[in-house]
Amino acid sequence: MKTIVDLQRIYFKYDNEDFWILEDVNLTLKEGDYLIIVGPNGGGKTTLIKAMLGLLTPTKGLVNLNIKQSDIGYLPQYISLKRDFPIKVKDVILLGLPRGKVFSNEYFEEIVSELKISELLHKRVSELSGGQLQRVLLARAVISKPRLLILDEPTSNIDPYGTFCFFSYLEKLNKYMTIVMVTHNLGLIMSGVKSVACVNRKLIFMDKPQINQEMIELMYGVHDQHSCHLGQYLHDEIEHISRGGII
Amino acid sequence: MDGFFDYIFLKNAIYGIILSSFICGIVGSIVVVNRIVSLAGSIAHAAYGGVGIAFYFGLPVTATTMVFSSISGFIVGFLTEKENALSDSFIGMIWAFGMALGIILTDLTPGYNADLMSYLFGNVLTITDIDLILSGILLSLILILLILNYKTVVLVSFDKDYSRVVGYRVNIIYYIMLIMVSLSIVILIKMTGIILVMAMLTIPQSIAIKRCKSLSSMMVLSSIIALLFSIIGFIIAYRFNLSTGATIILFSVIVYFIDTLVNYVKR
Ligand SMILES: Nc1ncnc2c1ncn2[C@@H]1O[C@H](COP(=O)(O)OP(=O)(O)O)[C@@H](O)[C@H]1O
Ligand SMILES: [Mg+2]
Repeated sequence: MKTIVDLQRIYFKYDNEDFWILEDVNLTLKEGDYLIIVGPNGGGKTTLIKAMLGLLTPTKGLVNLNIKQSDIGYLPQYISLKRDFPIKVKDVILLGLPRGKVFSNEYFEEIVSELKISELLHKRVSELSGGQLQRVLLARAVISKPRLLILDEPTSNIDPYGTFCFFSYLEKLNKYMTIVMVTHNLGLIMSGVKSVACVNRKLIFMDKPQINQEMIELMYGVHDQHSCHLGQYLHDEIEHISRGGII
Repeated sequence: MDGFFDYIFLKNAIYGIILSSFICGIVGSIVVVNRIVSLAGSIAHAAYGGVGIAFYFGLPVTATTMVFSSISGFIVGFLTEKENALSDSFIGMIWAFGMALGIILTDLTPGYNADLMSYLFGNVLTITDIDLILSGILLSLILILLILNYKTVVLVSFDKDYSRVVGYRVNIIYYIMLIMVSLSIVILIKMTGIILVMAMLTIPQSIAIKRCKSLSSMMVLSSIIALLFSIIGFIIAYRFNLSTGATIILFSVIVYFIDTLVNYVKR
């Protein structure tokens, strides 16, 4: 399989900070992968994704992106876009197409019905709820049939049924798209996920849809200030995961 | 004879108002949706520095100010690129620096009694044929650039990060927009003054943005509103012998507040 992104010994810190946000992170993505990235808040997941996308430049290390920028679809975590911008939902989706690329109506219809946004197409973005906007932005991310789809906590505002539909659609898309997704939704996602990376400054990679003890320690072992709650928390977390079918 | 001169001046004033309304409608929409109103304000005020340089060194005013403003637009754009807490301060600094430079240089210019007020508020009755030709050229240039790159302008204005990810050269596009804004401001200052430019770049747009579902329709609607404001303000000013620029601004702001109030009450 062709390598799509290769991160080699990535170290990252923000300009005004003096500690590493990412330390010695290595990750290789191959065509057809479906990777989920898990980890605590502030663990560096978004930073890692931005480095992959070229939005941030690592302090040390190499990012090799073996596809064109226009072959990437991206759904950012914080929807920083301007809600008061005068634009219709349909036009937002079409903005996902690279310059000069035409879209097939058939595919457009498929996306719109899979993501259940057909009633929203002629609304202004300012009229959407957070979850509706997330679905619209997923549509924008996939409209160009990108080879690499990068999603940062895409379902954080979506209701459970919507989330379920969303993940089933991702599984379909994975037939021709490589997917990287940050999520906290460990229970539901297992359909179709092929590998897991756990990120908390360092990265632990697992080549199957499983989370092991080492990962859980990386995720939560460092938060000493909460150590009294940690045991219970981990227990709940493992319960949660095992209900989802993995451990 | 008097009537004849009145007629020529009035004709240029009306043409000037029409052209500047469309420039303001289009450029102002870009300024408002990109949230660079204070950045544009600093370019407009800094332009006075260009005026000072032109007088001091005996250079052609419009050309000198265009160069000066494009450079200051570029510098503010560069300084504010990181969008951190300092950005705002840089904007204020350039704003004040340009004005101070302009004032000092005109102070130092022998025999020139600088009329700051005429640059702050402009005077539509002094619009010349050359001003009209320059605005016509600028408007055409803006329209051509916009029509050829409409989708890019929308994408970059709407979501910079995403545009970057899918491979648009966001910085170049952003700087071209800033330079267009700077050039427009210079052309408009001569006709309308710094303060009226800022009003016309923001008030019609703020009324239009709520009612439009696309950037292009916002541009059209803003232009029409700017035109109405200017013509009505101009007629009131002419009738009661008031300053044109200030009258247009007062009229626009009153309409804006009424509009906001009506929207508020409706809800
Ligand atoms: N622009 C920034 N400047 C300084 N620190 C930042 C910035 N963005 C994020 N951080 C810090 O980097 C760490 C990792 O953040 P992030 O990658 O967003 O985490 P995650 O997505 O895993 O929740 C956090 O401690 C956060 O405070
Ligand atoms: Mg994050």
